[in-house]
Amino acid sequence: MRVNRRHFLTAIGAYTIIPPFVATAQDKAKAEKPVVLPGTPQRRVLPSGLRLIVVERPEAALVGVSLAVRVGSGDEERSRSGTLHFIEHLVFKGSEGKQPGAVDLETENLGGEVAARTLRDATFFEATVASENWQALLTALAELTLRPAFRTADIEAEKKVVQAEMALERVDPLRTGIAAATNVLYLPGEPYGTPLFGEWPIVSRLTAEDLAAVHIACYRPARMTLCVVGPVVAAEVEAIATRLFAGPKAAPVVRPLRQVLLVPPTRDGLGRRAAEESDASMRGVTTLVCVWSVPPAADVSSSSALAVLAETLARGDEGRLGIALVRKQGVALRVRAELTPQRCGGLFTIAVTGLPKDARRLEMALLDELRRIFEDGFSAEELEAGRRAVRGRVVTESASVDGLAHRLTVHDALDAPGLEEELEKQLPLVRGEALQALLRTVLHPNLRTVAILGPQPLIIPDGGG
Amino acid sequence: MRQDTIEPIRLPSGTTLVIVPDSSAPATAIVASVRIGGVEQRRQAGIAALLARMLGGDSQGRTPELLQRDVEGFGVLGTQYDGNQLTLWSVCPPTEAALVQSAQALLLNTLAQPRFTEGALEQARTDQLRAVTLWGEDLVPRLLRGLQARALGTELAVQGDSESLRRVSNADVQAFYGRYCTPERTTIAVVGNFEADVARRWVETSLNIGDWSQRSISTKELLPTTEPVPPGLRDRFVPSLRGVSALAVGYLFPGLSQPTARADWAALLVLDAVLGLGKACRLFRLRDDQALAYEVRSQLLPARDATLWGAYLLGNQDPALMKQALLKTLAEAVQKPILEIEIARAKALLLAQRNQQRQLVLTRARTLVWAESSGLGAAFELEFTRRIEAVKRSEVERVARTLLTGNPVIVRTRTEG
Repeated sequence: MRVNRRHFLTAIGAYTIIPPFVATAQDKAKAEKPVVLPGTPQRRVLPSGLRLIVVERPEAALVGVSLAVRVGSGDEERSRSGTLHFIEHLVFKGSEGKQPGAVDLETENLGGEVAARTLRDATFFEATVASENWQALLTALAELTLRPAFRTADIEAEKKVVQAEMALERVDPLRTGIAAATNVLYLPGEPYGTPLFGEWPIVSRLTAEDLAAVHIACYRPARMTLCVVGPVVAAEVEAIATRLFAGPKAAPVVRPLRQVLLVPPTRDGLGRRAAEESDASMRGVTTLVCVWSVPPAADVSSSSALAVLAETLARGDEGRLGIALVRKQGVALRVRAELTPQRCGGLFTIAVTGLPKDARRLEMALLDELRRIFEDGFSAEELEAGRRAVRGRVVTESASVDGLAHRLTVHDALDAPGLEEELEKQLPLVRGEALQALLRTVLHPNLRTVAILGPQPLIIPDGGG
Repeated sequence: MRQDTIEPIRLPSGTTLVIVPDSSAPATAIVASVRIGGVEQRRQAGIAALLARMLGGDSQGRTPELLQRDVEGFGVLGTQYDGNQLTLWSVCPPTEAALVQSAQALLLNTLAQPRFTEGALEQARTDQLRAVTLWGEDLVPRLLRGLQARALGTELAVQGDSESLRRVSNADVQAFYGRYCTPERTTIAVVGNFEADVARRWVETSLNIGDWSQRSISTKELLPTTEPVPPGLRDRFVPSLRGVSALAVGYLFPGLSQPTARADWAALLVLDAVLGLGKACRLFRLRDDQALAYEVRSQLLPARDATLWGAYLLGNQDPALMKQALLKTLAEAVQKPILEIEIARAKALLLAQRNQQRQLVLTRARTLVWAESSGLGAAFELEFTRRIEAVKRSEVERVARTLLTGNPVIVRTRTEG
């Protein structure tokens, strides 16, 4: 957590100055109360079980709000896949007392636009408004998430929108590749393996009753995390959130960490192969997507090391893979590496895009370079550049109220609530040996799952990985 | 966000300098922008993009997002050419030493005294060709490029293509730099945590070494004349994956070189927000009420000679149906009154969006240099709230009539089946 220097000094000053009067018992009690520095996350559990995080930032002009419903597509049975994503759409279609779009209009009149998305572990609703409007935004978010109407006409209309969203997924080769790879990576029936938006035959049959049943079970305060960042007072936020997100007295729902079920790797070194995209006539490039299953987000040391590894491997055209495959060998047009933290085991993805004429060489070139790193490791400069990039991203995202609210909520929803603070502590501790060890174990080439998208047929490299 | 003082300055060399100290910012950004449009590279498409990459030197391949990630790094620097401006930027920690280093690296070593080597040109050419190939893969940029080409009546690829990029020599780039990278075409913004006089001193010091400040007035700036879109233009088609459909409609508006366009800019922004910003806008009804698309957006592509306003739909419905519905919605924006509540929502959202962007020093600095370089004037950005709040309904309706009664250009995917 980065603390504004001026406020940090002010706070330290106030804490260390000895008051010029004889302290009474009451004063002593006050003095012993821990001082919360501006910028420090304050966590509470409300009587309804809602987990509340408040960051007081007196200098900010805006308030960022992020609300997570701690249930996502990874918690759905395959027979119900896509229901949570569909509910995320439908809550915008009005509530018991409001017409479709009314909440959008209200929040936009406050200057905020509610963005929503469903991931494997949680569903997020986020907006940013001017500081004087945060109470109204919380009211709108409570109405939106707790009291949706689920009208049949709206449900049928929205199905067409969701179907269009599913179609557009196919335009993005990275997302399509990850979807294809995860479908193969996880065992059949493993919820992490189903598409984020579900399967159309199931979504197309959803009824108001289906949605209401899942909504009642999932959209309740005990499954929610609310984060408010800005020029607010924590006690005031707590009082208002307690009223708006009221419910029967409950403890926060704690999901047990389960063992994510993976398809065993092959012994031939080829990794798990996802079906190549057959309908690729309109793509001009080929994209190779390699996916590995990695430890859960709550494993702070692994998460930190993997975040650094992703940046060390590829940052734009830089990083070890960017320089090797794009600049030196010229076999790739672009390389991306990214960590997707998840509660029960995350994903580490390397995507390499190249011209169709180079499609045969993409996978071999990637594996060769990974093998070189595996044997030689990273230089101190490469490692420092990776660390600096992660630190820079954390600092930049945390500089805005919306960015910080988002980060804190995501980590809480992944059951890694201290990750934000821990990450900064762990970064300097990430060593090159740790990254090499990850490449030898978790990210071993034999454990990769591969999807290839583009106009070229799937070519199995000689000798595999 | 604390904004202490604002000082738009015209330096003796002709360069415009905008300094915005903000003592609450965690970093300082310096952004320099040079006005170079398509007209300046009419015979050498892509030369400005090559120049931007060569100026970037070791920072090639860095995107603004990547630069923002490296906000804590010293000397972090990037360059970009967007078709209207060549932009250079750096972000550094909020100390005087870092500011000095950042100003010298960006303004002295990169902008005023660059090195042009054959190796740098080859690398720039390779990088640009790669980027052009990748841009061709994305559907939305493909739609918007199609709209621009159709509306402006030129197929000039301002980012170049394989043929034009191969023709450019090192001598061409140097001559281009000498002709167009001049003080009076340049705007510099410094935003962040610093003392105003310190920032000004180091900007001037960095530019006073060498001959930058003494360079003569460059070639007279040219402004292409953009003809109105003729009636009855046929739709232009773009390829897409099976099962995905897209449609974009564009209208021309006078460019920011014209005083009337500058005077109407705030009203145009409000109209754009009424139509296409947020989920309670008019265009979003095409999704909410008619389920015609998943993604519904509007986009302003401003330039000195002509601004293109476009709206697009992405989804899986028949593009012919999309077209019919979108044109009807846009016609209604002229035929039916725009309500005060629509304008109030648009203004609230515009102001909040701008405040959100202003949280990051690099975004704020880029917005300021864009405004100055485009002809709008940095003052518009600095007075953004007042200008937007002052917009009247009658102005929005007049701008809607000016914009939407012109002939549209249409780019779309083909109907399947």
